[in-house]
Amino acid sequence: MSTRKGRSLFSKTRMRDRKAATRESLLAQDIRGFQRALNWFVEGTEASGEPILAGGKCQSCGKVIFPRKMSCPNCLTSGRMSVFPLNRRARLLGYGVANRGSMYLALPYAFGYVALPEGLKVYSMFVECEPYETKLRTGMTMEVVSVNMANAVTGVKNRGYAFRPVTNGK
Amino acid sequence: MRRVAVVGVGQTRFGKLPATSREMGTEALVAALDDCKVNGKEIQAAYVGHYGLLDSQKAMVGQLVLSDLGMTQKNPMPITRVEGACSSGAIAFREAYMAIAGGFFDVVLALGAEKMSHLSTTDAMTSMAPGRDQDIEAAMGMGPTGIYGMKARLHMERYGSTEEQLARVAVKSYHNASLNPYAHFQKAITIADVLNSPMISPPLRRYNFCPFSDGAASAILASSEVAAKFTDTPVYIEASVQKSGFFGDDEDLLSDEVLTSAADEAYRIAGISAQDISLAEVHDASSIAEIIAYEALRFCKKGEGGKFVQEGLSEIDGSKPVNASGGLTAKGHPVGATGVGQVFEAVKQLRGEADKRQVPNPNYVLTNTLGGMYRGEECNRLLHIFGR
Repeated sequence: MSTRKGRSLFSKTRMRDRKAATRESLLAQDIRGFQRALNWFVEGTEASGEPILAGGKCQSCGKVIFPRKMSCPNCLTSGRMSVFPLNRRARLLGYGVANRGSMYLALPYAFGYVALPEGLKVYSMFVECEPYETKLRTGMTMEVVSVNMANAVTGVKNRGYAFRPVTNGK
Repeated sequence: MRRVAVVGVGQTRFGKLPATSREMGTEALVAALDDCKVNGKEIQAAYVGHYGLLDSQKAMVGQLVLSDLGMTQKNPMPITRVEGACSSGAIAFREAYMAIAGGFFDVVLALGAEKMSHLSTTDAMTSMAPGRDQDIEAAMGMGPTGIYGMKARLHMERYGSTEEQLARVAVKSYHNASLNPYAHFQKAITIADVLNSPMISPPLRRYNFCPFSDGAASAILASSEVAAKFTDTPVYIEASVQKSGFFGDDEDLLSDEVLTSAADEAYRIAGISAQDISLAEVHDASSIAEIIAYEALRFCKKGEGGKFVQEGLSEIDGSKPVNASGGLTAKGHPVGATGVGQVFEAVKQLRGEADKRQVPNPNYVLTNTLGGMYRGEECNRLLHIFGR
């Protein structure tokens, strides 16, 4: 039996420090995602109301990719990827609706894939189209917008891109 | 390459269990050892399927289980943990197969274990995010239920499949599971039950998806040279194929070209065709995945998967039984154990030991396991064909 004089085998201070460290490490992980998020768009276009996604173009083989990475998946050349502005419009390939899911995102939400004229298949969430099942149709034209969102895994808020249907008025 | 047989199998019941993955792994392994004449110390290597991200014991489950059973004392064998998301167990089984086929060992263990049911669905889905692309897709809400909803909608738009056909897949799975004492769910359901259950990702409802299960399964493999020493009823691995995906810019989100090419390769290796398969245990994480599997494995033409289930062809007494065990939907899906659990079912069926869910006189049983999701396709596809 332990007594009040018995030596405690845990440290309150260390437990508190540990919790803080865990949180900081989670934030540090997300900061990388956050910095990447700031680079989704061609510089200066995000605030314009007509943001342009920044793809990458390989200076060796001409392959266009999104998101931009260091190396080219086509010719495997590294470090020769320049910023390439992508078409704002895309075709909806398919969408799913989540009635359950991440604890950090407002439900329901929709996501799926769009095809860009550059020959790219791009993952995105879809906004300004509720109720999704009446407003979204496979094959319809969508356009890119800049949105505030929470990271669905860590809950950290950041900026990101999404697609919405192109309405007749625009 | 040497021929390899499965000489012993064992598994826990799948479901919401009070045990840890270490305890369940021990139970499944003891059952597999009891199923054959292999002494624990004759095992030369072990491959352990364990996803682990939701588990309290996140790693080293295999080392702990084998040590608990005294199998490692004076017998320090290689024990390798294998992670491949929902296909972790199937990959562990394939590694065990290759280790024997390649001549490294004669008797090898495949074990799969997973603890999942202690978390809420939201916590569990969030914990599973590292099995997807965390930088973009998972960070921006991509989850498997939504992807399956997307595929189901596309299948309905393109081929005229119906919600009732999707419901029939679930009704069949639950019926088969009600005949399987190892299944998570033990109760048959009706089409109305499915169509009245909560909408998770339209057009798919609660009963169109697999649950989060706990469980473990184990298989002991031996080279054909020594198999007769351990069992009178060896079940041979006629083909083992694993492929990841293209992950490219292919615009057809319903295409399962990779699974079809993997199936063709498996049929060629086994020297058979799709017609020769007596039973298939497929990865029905959702009803639509089973319909796509009918087509990709060439059990029916592309687009006719909905009709295939509607006509009852995939029932136990149909011409091409699929998921006699109840599948992931109703037998359950403890991710690390699932692939090895499919092997358990294949072996039981080929030996004629599947009791009420027995398929009459099976010659070849196919198992198909999928794992991970990226750019709308699975990250891993596994196929095994078993014969007597």
